[in-house]
Amino acid sequence: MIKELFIKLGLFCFICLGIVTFVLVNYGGNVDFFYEKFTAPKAKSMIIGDSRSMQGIQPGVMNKSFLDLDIELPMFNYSFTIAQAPIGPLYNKSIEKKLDPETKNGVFIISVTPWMFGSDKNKNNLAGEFREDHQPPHNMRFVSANPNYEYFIKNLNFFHFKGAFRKSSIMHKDGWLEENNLPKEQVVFDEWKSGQARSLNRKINEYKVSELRLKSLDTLIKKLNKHGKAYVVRMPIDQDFVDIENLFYKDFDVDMESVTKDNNIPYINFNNIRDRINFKTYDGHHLDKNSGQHFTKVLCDSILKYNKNTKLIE
Amino acid sequence: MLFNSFNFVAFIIPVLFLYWFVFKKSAVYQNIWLLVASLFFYAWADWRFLVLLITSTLINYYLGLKIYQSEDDDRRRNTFLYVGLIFNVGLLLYFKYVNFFYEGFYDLLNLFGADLSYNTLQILLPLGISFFTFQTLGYLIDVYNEEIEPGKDLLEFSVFVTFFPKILSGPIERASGLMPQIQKKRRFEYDVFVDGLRQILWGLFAKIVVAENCAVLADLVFEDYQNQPASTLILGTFFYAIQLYADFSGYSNMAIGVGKLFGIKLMRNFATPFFSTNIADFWRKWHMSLTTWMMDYVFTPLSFVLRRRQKQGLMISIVITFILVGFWHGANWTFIAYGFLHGMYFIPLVYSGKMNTEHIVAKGKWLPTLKEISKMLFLFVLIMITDVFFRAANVSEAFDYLGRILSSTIIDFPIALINGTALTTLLLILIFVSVEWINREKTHDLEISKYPAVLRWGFYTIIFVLILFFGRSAETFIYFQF
Repeated sequence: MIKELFIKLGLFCFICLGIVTFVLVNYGGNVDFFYEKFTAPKAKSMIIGDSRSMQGIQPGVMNKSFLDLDIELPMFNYSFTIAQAPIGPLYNKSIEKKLDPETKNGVFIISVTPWMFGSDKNKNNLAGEFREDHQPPHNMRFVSANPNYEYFIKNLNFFHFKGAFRKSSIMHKDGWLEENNLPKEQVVFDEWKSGQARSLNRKINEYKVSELRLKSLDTLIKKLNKHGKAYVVRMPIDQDFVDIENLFYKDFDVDMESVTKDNNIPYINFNNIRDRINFKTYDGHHLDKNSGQHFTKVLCDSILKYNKNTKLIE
Repeated sequence: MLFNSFNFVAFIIPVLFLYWFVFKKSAVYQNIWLLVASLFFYAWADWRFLVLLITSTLINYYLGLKIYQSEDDDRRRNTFLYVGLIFNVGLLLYFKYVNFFYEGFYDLLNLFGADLSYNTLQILLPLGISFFTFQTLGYLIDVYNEEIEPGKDLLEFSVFVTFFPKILSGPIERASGLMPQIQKKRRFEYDVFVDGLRQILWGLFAKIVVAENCAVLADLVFEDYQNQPASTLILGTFFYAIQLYADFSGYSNMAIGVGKLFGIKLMRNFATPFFSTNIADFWRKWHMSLTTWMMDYVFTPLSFVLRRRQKQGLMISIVITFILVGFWHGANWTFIAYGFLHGMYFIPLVYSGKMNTEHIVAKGKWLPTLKEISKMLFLFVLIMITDVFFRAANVSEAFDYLGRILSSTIIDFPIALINGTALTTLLLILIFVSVEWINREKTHDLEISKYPAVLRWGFYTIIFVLILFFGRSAETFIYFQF
């Protein structure tokens, strides 16, 4: 009787697993915002950052721009959101897992924001306390498995399986999040923007700048430079959001200049007043799909220009 | 550790495996293992009160024995019973109700111009206290009334109190039903085990698909009810009524299902209560373990005392019993109002003499008559009204909410709830209600063991797909707070 039970239970589990596998393999990018990041093979060139770069830097555009160069492609967007991936030892560890160790000539875009160096005031980073602990990608042992059942089990709450029908937001296999679910009315965007501003203003009081996270950036750059070239980028956002960020971390640009200079890599700041290009954001600090495409081209041009100036490429 | 978590799956598989393969030799081994698993389960939920649970178990075990051993000495028997009542009720009063009375006392003094300020006492509520305390109270009273013999084996008694599927939110088990099962060796029965799995599957569907989707909509309305038209408020109440039922019946089904996996049959807690045509019938099917407990230990003695007042006495007994049912849920006037209203709903039944007429709607038929439908709908509306009190933060908020329903905006279009989520949820509710309707005369809501295998397997697969696609994460159950 127990044998019969095991056979039937096994069969039912097999059917369930088959359904789950079918959905994950065919609709993985529709049913979760991060799942595909853990199914792609190890990456040779990467985009690292938070939701700004996850939506705003498109690997496909970069692949085209860098096609004729001696760079190990394709690009892979390994950005998450500020909740999961502030700069720090945990994110560094995960990046190391995702990076193909054989890479010699990769490109690594590190998109930085002041918030990525913020720690909760009640968390002692030096004692190993991080707010992003227990979140993906830090709770993941396997970051390149397809289908990735580990992600399914550990992060089931992140899934929205109804997305398989709607297909409104798509996490592409190259890690770029294409957001097609934006409202049509300006009033909604205005509400979003004021909501985001309120949220960031709250963070000013909740967060403090973490020295450990700053050191981690230095460690990350050094690590990535062994496999190619790292570029630190501050993505364009609306001026009122820059002002909020300055309230939180006044010397952010100075510190970024310093750490990049020490590592002999560029700091490309798109919020620099002098060279500022206005890219359209939908909530004050996230680029929409079209702006993201434009921005990615401009970013590639900046990288190419920098490399020509420094004679890294002809 | 929620039933609907991977943690629970990781816990239950080895526990079951060892239970049926290693500890199967005798009831003693099985009980030792169940006790270890149960204490671990409780400690995982809240280890701080593990000592309280163990202490309560030991004291009630001792008192049960003493009451039994003092059968020739009424004074001693009474003393031990009173000690037990004071201990158990005292636990509840201290952990659950002390702030209510404390605040009430100060509010009363302030009402007479005392102008006193007070700070609410910081007392944590031990998980499951209302459930295990009622269980042990019932046990002592049953021993005192010589309806059962006390548990002479501490191990068996400990399993009776702490058995993990029901420790956090019931069913509130009776010693007469559970103890004999614990006293003998459980043998693996395929049908019981599979039936348990079926009940767990249905409980999961009820909780994470129906209740959690309803919760999203109910929260949307209740958290902003001042700015919603009456039509939306009615819909919000409808979704909350379904949420409350699906949440608790889902939990109960899972608890009973898990019990069956261990060869232990816990008592039924819900029997499709919304398919009732009057309030008495509803309470025979809603939270049955609490209702029967209250009937046996509160209503019956009370109505006996008031028997000379005939119908008036009966009415008073019912209202007091239901006020206590409400108060059992929590230290808030909203729950007292909830219980009071339910008690008042009995008045027409008492005076028409129809209180004890049990009625299975459309028995043996596919569809109910129009009369039955209208009665069920009327009862559902009455229950929706009481659920506003159950959900509201305070009584004035509940009255405010109900007052707003009685406004001209009742004919407005409920814009806030006309969206994809609401329509999907209505469809899911329809599936839920349909399956419950089909199984309303059976032993549980998904009793489909007699169906052809293809149909059963197809049904299991559909439920799994619905859970996968429409399930929402659930961090807790409503009844955990009680």
